[in-house]
Amino acid sequence: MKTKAVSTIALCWMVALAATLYAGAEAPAGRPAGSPKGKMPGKMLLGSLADRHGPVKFDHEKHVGTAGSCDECHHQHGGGQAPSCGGCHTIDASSFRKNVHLGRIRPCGACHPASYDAGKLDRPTLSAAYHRACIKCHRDVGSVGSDPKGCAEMCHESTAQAGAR
Amino acid sequence: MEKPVKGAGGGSERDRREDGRTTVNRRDFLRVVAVAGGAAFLGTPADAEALHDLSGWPDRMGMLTDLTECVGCRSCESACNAANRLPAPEVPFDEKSVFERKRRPTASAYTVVNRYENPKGQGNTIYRKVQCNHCEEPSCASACPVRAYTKTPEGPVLYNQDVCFGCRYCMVACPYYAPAYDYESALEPRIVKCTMCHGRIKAGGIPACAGSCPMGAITFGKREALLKIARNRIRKFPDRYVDRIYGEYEAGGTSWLYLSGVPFGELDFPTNLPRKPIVENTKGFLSAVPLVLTLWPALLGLCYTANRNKEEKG
Repeated sequence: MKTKAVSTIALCWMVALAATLYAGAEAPAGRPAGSPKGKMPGKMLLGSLADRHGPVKFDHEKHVGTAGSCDECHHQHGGGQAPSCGGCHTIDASSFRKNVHLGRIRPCGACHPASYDAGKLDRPTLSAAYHRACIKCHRDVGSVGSDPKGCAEMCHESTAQAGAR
Repeated sequence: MEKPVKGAGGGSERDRREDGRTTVNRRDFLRVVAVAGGAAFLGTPADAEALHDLSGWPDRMGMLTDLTECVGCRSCESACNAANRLPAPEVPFDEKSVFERKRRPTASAYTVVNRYENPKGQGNTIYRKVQCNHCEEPSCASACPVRAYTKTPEGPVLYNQDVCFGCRYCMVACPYYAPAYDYESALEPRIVKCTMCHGRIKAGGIPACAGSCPMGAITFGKREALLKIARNRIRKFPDRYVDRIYGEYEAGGTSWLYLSGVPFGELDFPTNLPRKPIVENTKGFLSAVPLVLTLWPALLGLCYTANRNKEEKG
């Protein structure tokens, strides 16, 4: 049983490697270099913290074209200096093929706590991580970041914001 | 009677060591005379110089404001207003015109955010949140004649309206201009200031401003842990921060700590505060005052009477 699992993993690795090499040979246009070769999200609804504000309609596809590199937002690759694949990717045997093949990036919430966690004081909460990632570039664009009105101008729904005030 | 002598002498030695001064000024002279005199006269231990030992409260809480993260959204002001059931602001919380002048906390706003142009001439605009810093050795408490202020084991410095008679010495004593006076209720004097959401902390929650900050610029936690975090950030990002944690030592240290990308003086933080608590300057003298004012007259009166009796007899 164990040997079978090991050989399955090895096979998957080879398949993944081949797929990577193959995909690398013909990098699709509009994708940043080194981006995962699987299907990337298009339009997303970031709503895991939508209790105070309306969920954010986030166009991932559009950002892929403008960000230049995944690292701009997905910091865990750390400019190619990630300590190990397992540090970021879920690689248990059952989902190994799917995850590695897609180069799936862990959701932000896997590390960033959704609410205050006294044991992880120096890790930004999920809300803070989102805001920092967005405002890093959107600061002083329009009024976001430098102006309180920015909450509803670009990202959050104004009705929800009005309700929270 | 070794203790009183040691207390008075120890204080002046410490002054010399820290300030590099050896001359005796009027204040030192009065203090030494008052304490030593009081002690010698009355034979009571003058522990006036001994400071609170906070080592028994290692778990006291603090707040760490990272000024490099703040974007001036005023969510903290809004959350503070709601948590303390304060009156609705004259200018809405999403109005940016409030940044046109520098504000201080008031009776209806325990915390305010001020805007500063980046003194580097480039880079992000800087925002600074202002509120009571909850000193380790609060000078408001030492200035208060009726002990309306209490430093709690949890960290916050609390004010009790019931005993306050409105002298406002605390406002003069505070080096951060934190306490505000409620001029609307002159007959029932009331000082208003941030409570660090003491009630929420006691109930296992976190202060409203820290919970509301969308950028994670305000971190609530044990003060000791926050100091470590702040030091780590400075070490990891030396280009991002100036090498100083404001509040670590200022006037004996504060519960509220700050990290900044520009020198703190540029953001109107008082930078001339001594490392020792301000309380220490007056504690010795003030603690002797009640003794001198109550017991000296009685004793001197006795001497006078005895002498007069002697003169009359002689």
